[in-house]
Amino acid sequence: MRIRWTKTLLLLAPATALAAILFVYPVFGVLTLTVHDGTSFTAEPVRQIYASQLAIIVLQRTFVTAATVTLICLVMGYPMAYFMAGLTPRRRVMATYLILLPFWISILIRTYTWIILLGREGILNKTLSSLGLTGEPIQLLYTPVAVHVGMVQILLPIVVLTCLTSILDVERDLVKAARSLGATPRQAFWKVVFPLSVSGAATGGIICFILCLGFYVTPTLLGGRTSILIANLIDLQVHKTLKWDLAAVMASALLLATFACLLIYWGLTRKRSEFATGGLAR
Amino acid sequence: MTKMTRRAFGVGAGATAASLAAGAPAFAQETTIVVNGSGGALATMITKIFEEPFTKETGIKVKPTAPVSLPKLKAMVESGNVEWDLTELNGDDVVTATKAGWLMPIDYAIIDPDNKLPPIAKQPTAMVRASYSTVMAFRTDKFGKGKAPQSWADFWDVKAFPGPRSLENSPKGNLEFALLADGVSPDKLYPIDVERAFKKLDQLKKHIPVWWTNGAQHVQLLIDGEVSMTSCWNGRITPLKNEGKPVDITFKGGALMLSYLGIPKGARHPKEAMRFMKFRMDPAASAAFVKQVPYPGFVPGMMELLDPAFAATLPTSPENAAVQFEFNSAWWADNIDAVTTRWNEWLLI
Amino acid sequence: MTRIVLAIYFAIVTGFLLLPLIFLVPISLTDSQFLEFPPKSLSLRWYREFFTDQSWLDATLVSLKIGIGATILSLLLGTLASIALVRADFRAKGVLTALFIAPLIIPSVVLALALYIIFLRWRLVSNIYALTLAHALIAMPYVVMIVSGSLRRFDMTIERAARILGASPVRAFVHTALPFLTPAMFASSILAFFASFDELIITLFISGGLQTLPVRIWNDLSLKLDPTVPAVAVMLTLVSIVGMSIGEVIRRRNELRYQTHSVPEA
Repeated sequence: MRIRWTKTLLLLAPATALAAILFVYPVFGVLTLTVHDGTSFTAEPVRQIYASQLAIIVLQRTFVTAATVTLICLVMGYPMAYFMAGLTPRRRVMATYLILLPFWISILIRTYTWIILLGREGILNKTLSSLGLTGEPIQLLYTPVAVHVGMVQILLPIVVLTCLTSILDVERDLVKAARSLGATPRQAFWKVVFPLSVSGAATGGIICFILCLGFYVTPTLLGGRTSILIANLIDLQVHKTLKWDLAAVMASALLLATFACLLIYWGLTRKRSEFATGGLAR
Repeated sequence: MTKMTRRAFGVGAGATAASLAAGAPAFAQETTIVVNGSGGALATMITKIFEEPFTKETGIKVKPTAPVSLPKLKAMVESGNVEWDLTELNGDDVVTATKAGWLMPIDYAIIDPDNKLPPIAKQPTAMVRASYSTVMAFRTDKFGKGKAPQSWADFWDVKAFPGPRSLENSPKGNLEFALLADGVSPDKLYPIDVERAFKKLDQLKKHIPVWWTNGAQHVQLLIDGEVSMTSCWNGRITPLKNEGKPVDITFKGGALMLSYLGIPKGARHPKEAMRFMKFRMDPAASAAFVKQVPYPGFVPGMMELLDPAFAATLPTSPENAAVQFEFNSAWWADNIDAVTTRWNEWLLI
Repeated sequence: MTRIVLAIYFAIVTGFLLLPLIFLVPISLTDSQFLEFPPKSLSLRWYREFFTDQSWLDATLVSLKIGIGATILSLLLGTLASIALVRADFRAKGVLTALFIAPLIIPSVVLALALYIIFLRWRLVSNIYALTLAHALIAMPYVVMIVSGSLRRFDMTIERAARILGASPVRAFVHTALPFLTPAMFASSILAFFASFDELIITLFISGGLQTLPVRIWNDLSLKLDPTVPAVAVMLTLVSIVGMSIGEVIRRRNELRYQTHSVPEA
């Protein structure tokens, strides 16, 4: 039931207006700020960022942290997903709910509880020392370790679920075939399920990576000064040093990185759907 | 209690007189002034001792906000969207803000009609609210019996006094502390040898897991055992020590600072803000406040209301003032930009 | 054998995921002034603290106002847009879909900075209506995704039948597709509400003096750690679990209802 273009326009206008005024225009403003100082074009902000050790180090740190967290999530998450794929559908739904339970609590509060758990006189250190395992309390809070723990806790469910989807996609059709052709379960996993579900897991990894890039709350609350990520530096430039043009350059870099990841993501999903429809699934 | 009643009376009469003098209509009772301060337990105390009675007397509501931030003041004034009617300011903030024109001139005819405030308290764009010290605080249970750090040199001595420390995430005061730890005598601190100070700070950097950003945070870090020593404002630790917590401070090597109240240019209720400033200079209320929070200002007639033994624990008492140095706001106002940039690069890498 | 190892592994990691929740409840029930675990004596002191502290109540009220406003706006705008995205045929469809979903994908801090700069210029910082609009923007992606997904599954023969029987297009839509969409709209409004209710970073930048609940918690966290925050957290968690569960139940009931007469896609 096709609708006429006037109606289409009316239906789309309010949402488009909102997105244009509060999204496209402001974000475009940030992008211009990196090369335009209000009166003329300038390369100054970009040059300053390029010359600033701080910005470069924090950008690097952000990418390294995002990559590490993503890797940890994939390594931890894939076996979880594989286990869930082997459950009966009813149990799988229950397992999914269990994993999604932390999702219903704000990131702020999930991060906050790690302060209580990881502090020098926090629950973990108290437990360890009362068991006689450690003498001195271990410094966990305000270190990169704490930041990684906090980020993995937040992002792991997403990775598990994307891995699960891709494993289920493969298993439904192929494992039976492989098994009926005489493969052992181990062979079926390593020769069929794992290689075919890897690209699905990779898309989950990319989503995780993109989300990592923008993390703000966790590094602020759990990291020391040397664990700050790009979002914190943007915040600092806006609220402490008032250098909006530098903040804009970093925000643009972040935007660019996000966009690059999205391109990879689209590439992967397209390949996968071609593969699923045109290739083996038939 | 009688003191409170008397104070309320006196203040009430004064406030009424002020409102008549200012020609404020009696129905201007619905206004709310936004007073920005440093937050924490201090804000609670200010609310109880100054803001609530002020509202009761004048009908002007007071909304406290936090924290004190010069960039925020700048953004507000320059965008023309001024949220605060009154804000606390540090000494060098006053110098910077006045130069930049972010503060409104103060009409001392409203605040000090009888001319009782000492001239030092009456800056053209800001009024001294309090004097306080940034001193060293430490856990008394972390270094063995009877052993307590007594100087910034001890603060830097991680062998004799092991454990993580915290300092404020700001170069102000920290550069001075580093120089004191390095053996510079208190009268030779200014102009600050920035190079030498950062070199000394380098030695301690890896023992500082967290840099505090506001007055409530350093208390929390000390109480939670996240750090064994920290720089702190002198008023925050005493109440906890009195509660029996294993914490203490020393005034030795402390930085004696002044804190001001100023009205941002473009504030919506400057008249009401000045009435509140007058209220803050009431001797009895100030005495009650200082008993809770030992940050005395130059309120005329306040010291006479205090117990001499207690007055001796204030940062401005002769013994305490003698072991501290006077924080030089003028030097900082001139150097703040360069030093802050360097500080951020130094800290965050 | 491998299954058992995997099951143990699953239990451990799930424990890790749920760890913060497990400790939150007992910590919130302490009688002490400071955070302690296990609490020495139990009390509802910090829950009382929340309900007697005007600033917590004010922040909750601000969050509720903004959340409800943003939900209604995003639901309305998102549903209208979804109809066009699914039913109409036009070239910019892909671009527009990407545009509506983008606020969910790009890092919040970028949007926060962008909005902060614009709002300062327009003098909209600390304006509750502007904040509500910004929240509507970040809530809209959920509505567009869920509602357009549901609309795509709708079997159009019913609507066609209504048209053939003489109903106007709008009437036909309201009586056939809209009831089908209601659960999706409900589910997406719950997600939209929580997207707004939980939002911190953008709000931190543009809220000025306005305190929403997350901003209030944030300010409290950087000032002090007392057990009010755990108490608030437990209450918030309960509310969101109840809210999401209701949404989920309705969604499933609807799926079952329509499964019987849905026709497989051609």
